[in-house]
Amino acid sequence: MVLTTEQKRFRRSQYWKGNWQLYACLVPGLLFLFVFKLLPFANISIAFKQFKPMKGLAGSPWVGLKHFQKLFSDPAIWQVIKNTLVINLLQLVFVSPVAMFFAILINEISHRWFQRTVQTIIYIPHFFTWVVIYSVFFILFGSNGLINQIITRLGGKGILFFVDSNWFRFVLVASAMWNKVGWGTIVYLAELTKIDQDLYDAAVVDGAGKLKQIWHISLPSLLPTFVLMVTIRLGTIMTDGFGQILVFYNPSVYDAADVISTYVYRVGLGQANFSYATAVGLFESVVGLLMVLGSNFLSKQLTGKSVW
Amino acid sequence: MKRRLVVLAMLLSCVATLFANGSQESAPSAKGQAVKSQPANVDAPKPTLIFTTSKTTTDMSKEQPASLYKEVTGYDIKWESMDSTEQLMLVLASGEKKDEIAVSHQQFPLVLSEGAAMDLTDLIDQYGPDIKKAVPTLMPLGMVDGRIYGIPSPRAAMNFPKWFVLGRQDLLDKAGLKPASTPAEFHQLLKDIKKAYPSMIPFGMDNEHPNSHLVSTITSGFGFRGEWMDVNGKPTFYLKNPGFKDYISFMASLYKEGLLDPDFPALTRRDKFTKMSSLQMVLMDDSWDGCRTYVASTTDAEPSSLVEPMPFLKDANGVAHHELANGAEWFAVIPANADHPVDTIKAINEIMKPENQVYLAAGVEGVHFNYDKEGNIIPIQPKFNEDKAMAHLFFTSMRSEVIYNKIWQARLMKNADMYRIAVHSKKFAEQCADNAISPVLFAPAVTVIDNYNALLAYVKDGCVQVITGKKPLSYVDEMIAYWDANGGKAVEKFYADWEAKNK
Repeated sequence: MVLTTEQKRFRRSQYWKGNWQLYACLVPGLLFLFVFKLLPFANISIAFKQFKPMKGLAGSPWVGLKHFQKLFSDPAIWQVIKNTLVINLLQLVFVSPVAMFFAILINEISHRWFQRTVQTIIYIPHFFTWVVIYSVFFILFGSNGLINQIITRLGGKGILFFVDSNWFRFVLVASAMWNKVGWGTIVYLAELTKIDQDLYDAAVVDGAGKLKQIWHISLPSLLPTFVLMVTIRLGTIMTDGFGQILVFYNPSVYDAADVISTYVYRVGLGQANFSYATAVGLFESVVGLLMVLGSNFLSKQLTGKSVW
Repeated sequence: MKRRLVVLAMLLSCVATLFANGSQESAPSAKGQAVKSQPANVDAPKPTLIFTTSKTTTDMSKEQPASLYKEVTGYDIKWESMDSTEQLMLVLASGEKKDEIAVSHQQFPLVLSEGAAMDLTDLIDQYGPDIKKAVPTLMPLGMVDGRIYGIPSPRAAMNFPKWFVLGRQDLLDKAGLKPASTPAEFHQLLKDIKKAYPSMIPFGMDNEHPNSHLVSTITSGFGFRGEWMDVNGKPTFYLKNPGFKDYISFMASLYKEGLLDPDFPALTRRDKFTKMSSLQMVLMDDSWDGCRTYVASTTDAEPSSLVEPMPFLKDANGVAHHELANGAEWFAVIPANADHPVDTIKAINEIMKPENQVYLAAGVEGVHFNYDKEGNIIPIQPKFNEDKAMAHLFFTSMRSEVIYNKIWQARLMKNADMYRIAVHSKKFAEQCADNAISPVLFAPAVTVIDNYNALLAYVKDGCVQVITGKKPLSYVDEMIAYWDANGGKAVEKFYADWEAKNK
């Protein structure tokens, strides 16, 4: 049926009348995006100027691509970029799948009160700041910590988890897992509860055991959420981890743990080199955008699922 | 329609970027521009001033001295803590309003290079006569090209050693170990400590303060002291000092042999105190002011414990070196965008008067302290500690060169262990044949380059990496090349020229 313009206009007005509340819910989020993501665009020019806070943006001179040239000619930056990618990819590889695994396990708990208790215990570390998490992990993994005491009492040689570059990334990933897995389980659990119980009943009738039910029903149902989480994570892969690494790292592990954001913090902000810091931030954002686009495209091609 | 909205949003962003105009602020630069004084208006209500001090977790509003500032200055003063250089830079860049900021001597060049410090010359001439009287010899340290940009605040502990090796004398006595007098003896001492107490860390350090990698007791044994020292008549940075490579090699060997706390690169000063007070450590590099924190808790854990300083090591020529703590440690800076510079100067002027320094930091005669025959201030306990224990926080950047050292020596007595350790360490310092100030102590702040602090941080990080074995000893040559190529030579020339002019 072909609608006239009048009819289309009428339907549109009816649609807005009936649904304006839903769109109103979007307003705070859109406002947040506008204030913190769009408005600061105006200051991207800092990356192309030699910004002096006291002179203001207008008074600071243009320097073109000087900061980007400095960025890519800095011998340290490639190691820093590598560290950023490696650490964030390691966390991506371990955190999301482990969260999914825990969600599936928790979903199988039949006693509701026990399920809720386990979920709460797993989720509590999400609320700890990195300073608290560092203290906990230092007590566990410090040179005189619990783990090293166990190792030495069993006849082994202590491991300098916080000073040895070969082990430091392990500490970062382990602490990230402790902090983030709980939040991930909630997201995956929410997806699991949406699965129609009839599917599981039918699977039981067909003779499928627990593992087969998980493999054929639970995991495929979680795939879209997994893709979404990974895609979102990839968008921040160049910027994530600042708070954690800043608290955890020290000069003896810079080679393994110095990421773009901590490098910029130390070299940029700490030395009031705001323009350089902005140039690096812009570079991070561009790479993050490309990774999100790439991830979405690949996911669509390989799995048929995508964010958009 | 949707596509049009997206395109419109993108266009708006691009237009905003192209026509981006920063804030209209054009505060006076660090050089040359004086600030107009506020018009006199005696009826205007006095503003509440915001002053900052060094990093602290103490709620200063609850301390007794906070209540006295209104009486002394006529202004309500709100005290805040400035925890780090990064926070300082962000506060200045964001234009957050502060009336006075306590800036360390390491941060002062950075603040100057950003043009963030207000020219105080005319304000002090007009409203701050007592400020000049309070810091007569130190004032040039806060000046650039003859203009004042920061009011210097002298070190509290004039001529007392700041950092040195100290530790559990009781454990050394129990094992029959004597303090070392040379690096070789110190090495042997640590090995003997490890043998006698295998579960304890022989020597601990932290990685928090800017020169934590330079253990002054040990650098003395390699012929140098502090960051700068005269070598062949020229101020020489420690990286280029003839004894430095041997020092760093020595420290690296201590680390490799397990005689130095392996965790030290990851430790703050508090972490180190925790290890000491939980009886994990025998010796450590620290200062007399930390004693308040860990000595009591160490004694609680082990009542027979006794913490004492160690003597400074002698070099190959039998000379021990100690850098006298002197000069300006902090500066009171008024940010270029401050709203009440005149009121701030008036308040600081009152604070810097000798009688007010005594009143605010030491208290009332007969109530908090008495004078002895020599005119020294002797605290009356427990009233002195009840009211004035944290008074030093208010004096980070506003100490009078004329009177504060006397007040400080009284404050040193607020803790018996702290007093004992400070006095004993001073005796060891006085025994050093080379007991002198840094040759660049009274030089103005480094403004010839913008990245002086970055250079110092780079060198420090490199030293930690060499000590932990992350980088080989040859990395010192790379650091020297980096220092030379990134402004270090300009700093050396700056100091050399200044010294030649002021000899």
